[in-house]
Amino acid sequence: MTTRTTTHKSTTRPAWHRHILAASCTAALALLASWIYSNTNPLATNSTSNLHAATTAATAATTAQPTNRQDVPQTTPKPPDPYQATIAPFLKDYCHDCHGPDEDNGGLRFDKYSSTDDITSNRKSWAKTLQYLELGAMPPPDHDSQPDAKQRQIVVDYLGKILFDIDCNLARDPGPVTIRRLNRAEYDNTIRDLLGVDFQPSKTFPSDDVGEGFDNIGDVLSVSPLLIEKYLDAAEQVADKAIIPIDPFISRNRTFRGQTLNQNAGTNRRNDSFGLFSQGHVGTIVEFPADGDYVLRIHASADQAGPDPARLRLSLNSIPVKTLDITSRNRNDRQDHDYKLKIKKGKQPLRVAFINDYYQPKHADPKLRGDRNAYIHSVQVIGPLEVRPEDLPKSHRELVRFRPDSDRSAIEAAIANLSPLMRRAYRRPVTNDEIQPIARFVADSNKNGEPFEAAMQIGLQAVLVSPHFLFRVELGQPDTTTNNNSSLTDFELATRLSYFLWSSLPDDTLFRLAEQKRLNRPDVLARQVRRMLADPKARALVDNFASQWLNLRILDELTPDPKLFPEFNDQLREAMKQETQLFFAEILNKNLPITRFLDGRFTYVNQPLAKLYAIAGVTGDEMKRVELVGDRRAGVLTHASILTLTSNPDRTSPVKRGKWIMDNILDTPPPPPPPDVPELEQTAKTSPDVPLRKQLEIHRQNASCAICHSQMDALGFGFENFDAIGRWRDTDGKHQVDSSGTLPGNQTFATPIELIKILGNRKDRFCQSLARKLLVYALGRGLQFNDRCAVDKLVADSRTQDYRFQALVVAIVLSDPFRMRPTQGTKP
Amino acid sequence: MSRFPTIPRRTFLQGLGATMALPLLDAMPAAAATAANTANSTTPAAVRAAFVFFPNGAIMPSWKPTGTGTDYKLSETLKPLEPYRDDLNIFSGLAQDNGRAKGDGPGDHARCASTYLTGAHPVKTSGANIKVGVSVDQVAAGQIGKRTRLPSLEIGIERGRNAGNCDSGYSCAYSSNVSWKTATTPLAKEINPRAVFGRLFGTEDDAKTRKRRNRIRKSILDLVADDAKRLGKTLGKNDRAKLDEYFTSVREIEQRISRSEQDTTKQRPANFPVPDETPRDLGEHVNLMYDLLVLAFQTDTTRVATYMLGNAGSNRTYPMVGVNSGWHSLSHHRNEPAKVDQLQKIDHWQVEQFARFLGKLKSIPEGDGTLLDNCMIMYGSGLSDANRHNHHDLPIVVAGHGGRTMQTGRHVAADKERPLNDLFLSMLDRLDAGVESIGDSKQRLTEIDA
Repeated sequence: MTTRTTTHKSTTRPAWHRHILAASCTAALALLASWIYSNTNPLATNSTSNLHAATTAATAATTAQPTNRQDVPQTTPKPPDPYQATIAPFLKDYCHDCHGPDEDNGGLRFDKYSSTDDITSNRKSWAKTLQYLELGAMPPPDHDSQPDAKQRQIVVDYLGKILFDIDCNLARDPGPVTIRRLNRAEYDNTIRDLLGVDFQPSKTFPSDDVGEGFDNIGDVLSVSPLLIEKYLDAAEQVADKAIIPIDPFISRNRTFRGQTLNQNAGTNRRNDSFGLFSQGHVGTIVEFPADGDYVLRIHASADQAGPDPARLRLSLNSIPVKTLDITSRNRNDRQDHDYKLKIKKGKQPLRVAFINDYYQPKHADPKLRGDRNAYIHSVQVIGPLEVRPEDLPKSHRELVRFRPDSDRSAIEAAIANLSPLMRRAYRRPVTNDEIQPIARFVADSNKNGEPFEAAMQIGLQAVLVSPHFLFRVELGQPDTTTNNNSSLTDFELATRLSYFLWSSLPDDTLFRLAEQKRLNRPDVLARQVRRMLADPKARALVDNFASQWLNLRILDELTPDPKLFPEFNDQLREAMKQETQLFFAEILNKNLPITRFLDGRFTYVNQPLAKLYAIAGVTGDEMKRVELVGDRRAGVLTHASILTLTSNPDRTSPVKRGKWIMDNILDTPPPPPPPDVPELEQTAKTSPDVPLRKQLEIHRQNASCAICHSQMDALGFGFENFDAIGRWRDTDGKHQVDSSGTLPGNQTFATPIELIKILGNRKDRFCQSLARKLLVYALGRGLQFNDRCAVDKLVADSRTQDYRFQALVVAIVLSDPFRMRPTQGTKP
Repeated sequence: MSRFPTIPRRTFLQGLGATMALPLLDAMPAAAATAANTANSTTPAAVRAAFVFFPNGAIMPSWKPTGTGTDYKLSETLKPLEPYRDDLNIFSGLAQDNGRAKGDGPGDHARCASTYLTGAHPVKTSGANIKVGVSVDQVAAGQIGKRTRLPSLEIGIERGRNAGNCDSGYSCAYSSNVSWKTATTPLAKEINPRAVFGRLFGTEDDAKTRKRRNRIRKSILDLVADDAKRLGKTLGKNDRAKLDEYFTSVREIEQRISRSEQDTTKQRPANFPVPDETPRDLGEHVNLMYDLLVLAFQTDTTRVATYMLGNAGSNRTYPMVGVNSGWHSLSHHRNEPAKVDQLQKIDHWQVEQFARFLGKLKSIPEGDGTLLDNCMIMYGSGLSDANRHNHHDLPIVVAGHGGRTMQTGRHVAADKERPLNDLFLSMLDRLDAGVESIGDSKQRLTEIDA
């Protein structure tokens, strides 16, 4: 472990430390105060908005947009470069010791810069520098020379201006969007809405990689060979459900034997036959292509012994349907055992089990002596014996509207069927050139012996594996290009809209508006947003946006210590998730102000959750809406879900909770610690008798850590009244819970509710946080520094509409980044 | 009595649909094994390699053996490996230098997993342009993958993390994968045993259905590959890269289908109970995956595999050894004895399961020896002391004799900071996929040469 060397010149560290600590803490707190509490003019360039911009820029990597500086017409003479006069001396005095000619900690050398232009050409590194400067984390508090607050502010302002200053009137940059593959949820919903087949094929797909906190980010979603295999499997299963291949070759008579049957431990296989000795069974999963009558034929024999014949039980879906006596006289006497029954369409596990094992080799009565075994040589499924048109699913009737007949050849029928399908599946008009290859495929399959329905199934599979289906392709409208940016086509806009709000493809209304080129108008868009949010499909926003924004998916992975929290089980976990989802859904559906997330005095509980919350009068497993009384809980910060996922399995973690609030409510994600932070010399000599608060204070004795931790920990401690699974407590072990604290600006609180009130007053700040997350989710990309213009506008629009949720969604849909994109081929 | 192989009744599990894996009952029918692998064949059997990864490092004082060379004493954590002492080497001193921050700040777990088999420094990003390097298993698969039905197998027991930021600004792709086909394409792992079985041996359909399906799929893939090509031409660079990923994957599956059609000896192994669903019990799950790995190698379905016993930074609990706190949370133990003790229990349990796996490999006859003779199984992590996030002096064990080309039975104490990738160079040679360099490798680890 390397440490900073040569800068610690004093040997009397403890006393000196304390002075510096006091001084730097004051400075730091002052900075933090201005950082959190400035009243921001959204379009002004000052350090407040710089901090979040700094964060985004730091993660924007090297795909930074051109600064548009070159596009700015020079109407005023350029001011002299202040670098040499003001900045260089500052860096020399306070930074060169560790980041200069003698030593370059972290590979950073400030002596190598000599002008403002140098700085803007190394944006990412300088954005980090700005962040540390602003927080007072650099120079480290124990560095000998320290700038005073005024000096620091000058440099911070300067850096903020040159790094992030953009004229929002000129730079209408929608930002890059990498082509987005359908993620798992979107795939399932699209199949459901395209074909009416609802069975979640993506359950077996590998997880989508997460980026920027969401699983729908274009750059991050990838395609591996495994996924292609899964797509093929899924397409086959979907096609089987959507179209019934009524044909003897495929479904009339299927025989399962040997390799095509599974067995359990009580069974032994030799060649194609199975010997069932103990509780043996064989089975397989059978696809029954349609509702109807089927015959199950078991070709079996048996070693008979004892008073009863060997007996088999047939089960479908783990439900016994028939008990058969094996009529064979001995194991070589193979006989057919038929059973006719009505079966519903679908895939069902079929099992044939030997149920009356008998083993009496030494029985006194020779007639009762013996070993009874069953042998199964094949299992045949015959049927459906007859399929009527009314039994065909709706999807079939729509997909196979035309069949080859005297009026129509196979390829003509295929084209007629595929046209409407492909148009919807690709979410845009399709050309003949696109339909032809698949239609020809269908016709050729038909010619080679596949019944037409089966051939259509194959065509459907091809559509479902096509990149036009799996990816949301955006070419834009080139004739609308200005500055290398184009509007999206109406169809592309419809697609963005429907995947944003429904995680699914556009419906007929959206398609129609797109066709008529009426969609890309603010009034129409606003109306559509409201219509779509009122549709049950908007459930997707709850399932996909809310659960990721609030990190609810982490709940599935958590395992609170069962000894300490015996009441935590899967049922409670599920209730916790649903509480937060229903809460979110109400704010969305009733178009409440988004501040309700923080201060809402209502929630949803069922009996187990109500018990945890000590709320009386709720019984049963169903979630019920309740008003919150008393002064303990309000909003998501007091939901058991959030409180649990920000805890450790065995105790609360104020640090995690504080960080969560800074990330998701205050939009001021704490930066990672500076590299090479020296390790804590004090191992926590914690006797378990010391309260958690005291234990964590040891962290903060190190000045470098204290900078961020004093803020973070204070926020987390404000919720110490809630234990690691969200239950209220007044004591923690032997200690009285102390959830008081002070935030920069001398805002004090003594209880969680008081802290929530303070946070709730930061309306703009919370709106900004939520707007950014929604924007990332809507666009499928991380935000860049010049998205600040769009975000600032979103917050401003929101403010004029009382911060109502739906207004924010509408504002996003109307924003430039949502309706435009870089012209393909002009930028990477 | 029955003419079928007899099994004592007592060993039958009670209840229907048992999902416990049983010891493999028969050796594979001769037809399913390639000529080179049948007993007493004179052709040398192919060498296989598997790379097993465990997250969160290990408690090193309890892991490291005392003494070096052949004369060493097995540590407490590694005690379960005692019966296989002569079949393995324990390494110390190896490092993945590129797992260190190098100016990128925190994210040691993401780096732990992504450098483990690549020796390359990952680009720190939580969204755009993920990039690290090609992993050793894929270097091998690139060369010898076409000799088997599956070029390689990637399995695990934990789904990719699907919420939030995975590790301090690193994309979850880095924490959830150790296998990288190209520097920018991780290979997703399969965690469902039934699906793994299906990938290895196909589904339970008959030959006629399979043939039809293969024919259909090849045509579909041909069609859509064309689509992708044409579409790519109209797109900008980033989008085209995504389409290329798609296109490459499509071609890969086409080739796999062709290969599987040529392989007429394919048969589903008899008497392997395939569970209906993924086991909920961690021990069951871990061991079932090990069993599938044995099966894959035994049947020569693939010769290259990776197995993640958890995602980087995994926070699962191990109640079977009395550990109810999360593995990752514990690993920041700050030398508290209670925590260290709990961690050591997890380490030990993992080694126990690994030892069981080695036992299985050793029990399968192959040539004039056993399957284990022809394997190289690396078992280790990209972190050593996880409390300090150390990427050097890594806990690494390599079991197997690599086709009798390796000296075993030693504690190989490599020079400090010797790249782990040097070991990969030596392993790749034995896989007939030798290269001159991979990641930050310098030179072959000749200490293991026989």
